[in-house]
Amino acid sequence: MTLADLPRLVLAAALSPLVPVLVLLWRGASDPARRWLLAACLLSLVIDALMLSLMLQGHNNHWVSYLLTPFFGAALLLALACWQRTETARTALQVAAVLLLVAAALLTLLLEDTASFSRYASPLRSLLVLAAALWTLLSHLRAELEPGLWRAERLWVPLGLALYSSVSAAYFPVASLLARVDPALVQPALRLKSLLVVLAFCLVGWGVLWKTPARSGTSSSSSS
Amino acid sequence: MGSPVEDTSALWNFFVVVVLTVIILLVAVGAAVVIGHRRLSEAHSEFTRRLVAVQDEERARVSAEVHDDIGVQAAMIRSTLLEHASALPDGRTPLLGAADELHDLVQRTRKLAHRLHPTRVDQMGLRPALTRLAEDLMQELGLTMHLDAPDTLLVDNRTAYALFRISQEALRNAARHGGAREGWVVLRQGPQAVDLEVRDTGRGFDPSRRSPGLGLQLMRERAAIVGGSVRITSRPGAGTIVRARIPGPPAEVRRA
Repeated sequence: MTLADLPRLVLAAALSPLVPVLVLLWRGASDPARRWLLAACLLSLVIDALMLSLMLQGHNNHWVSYLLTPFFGAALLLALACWQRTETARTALQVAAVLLLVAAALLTLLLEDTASFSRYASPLRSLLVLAAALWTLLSHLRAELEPGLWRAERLWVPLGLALYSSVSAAYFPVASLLARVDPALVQPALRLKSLLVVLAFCLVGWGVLWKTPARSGTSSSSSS
Repeated sequence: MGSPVEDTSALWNFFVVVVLTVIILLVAVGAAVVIGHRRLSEAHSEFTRRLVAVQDEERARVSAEVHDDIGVQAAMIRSTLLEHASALPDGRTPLLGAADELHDLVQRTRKLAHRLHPTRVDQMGLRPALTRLAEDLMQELGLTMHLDAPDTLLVDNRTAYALFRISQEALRNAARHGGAREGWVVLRQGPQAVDLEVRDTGRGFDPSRRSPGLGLQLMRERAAIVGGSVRITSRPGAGTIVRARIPGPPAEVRRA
């Protein structure tokens, strides 16, 4: 298989974390939330690059995912922790980030087949990030429905991360189901997944375009 | 890349992952609540410690002013009155009466100054200060205090001050709130720590049904400032026992 054989949407999905990375480098990763987000997106690019490279050389690339994606998930949780409105929620996500690393290591060592797709560790990471992103989103929506929220990173970034995580979490069970019903549907499902991943990282990139005024109980950056 | 379609039990795996996610989230939230509670307790403790320190500083300042300004001036006026009394035979009796009142005022001022900040602990040592405390408690509150302490204790000034204040607070509480008429202060120097036990014959209370008041918290913080701890045992009708353990003696005292 060569790079040209890959569906363009799959390639675009792999490159989509570049959008927030470029925006963050342009607007500046001035606070901890943005720094964790930048780290996560850079790590995602490295993971995808390594996996593509190994795949094109005909090697098994799953170990890259087992080794690095827990750190990607932990970085996203730590970024979301910075946007929490309460100290308890912030601490809970910081603890969850550590627990994710421990759980992923244990699952990989005890249950996973590292020569194949992750059945536990990756979906666990996706569900944890999804829960954290939805919680962040809802807590901000419930607490502050002022017009300024629509130009706030704490709205769009969790929205993008929620979309990305839900797609990542749902893809493998859905694909497995489709494979049993009609294997021809797996490829369109992959394309749809890739499209949604691109959209998710575009939302994250759109979110970090806005520099949110600092608020009490949040770690948002200064106003633009 | 491999194919996800190989895995036929994906839905079951997904269910397991959902359960794991819920467990992790519950543990994380639980841990956050515990950490938050601990941080709050530490902040509260730190606040009380600062309160104790500020209170002591302020008391020391007021005590010095009461003793040095009011007390000394009253003593000077008294001596002037006595001089004039000897020069004026006719006015002698009323002047001597005023001089006696001034003498009482000087004594009361000194007591007040001492109560505010017991410099006697620094100057004379813990045991004499506690002996004096026993006299004060008898005069002020009618409480008989029995002291069982070695003549010399290997403790530094801060520890001695903390032990004195804990004893004072415990016995004053016993007399004022528990109606105690008798109290015991027992001090023991061990190889690792100094142990203080203050017992009284007051009404006592049920610690599980009553949150500790400021006095009890201050005792705890006074012990904590010098690295120690306080344990309070009480039962309704059976008096109260306050036990404090302060580690030490400190290295510099041991060398001395």
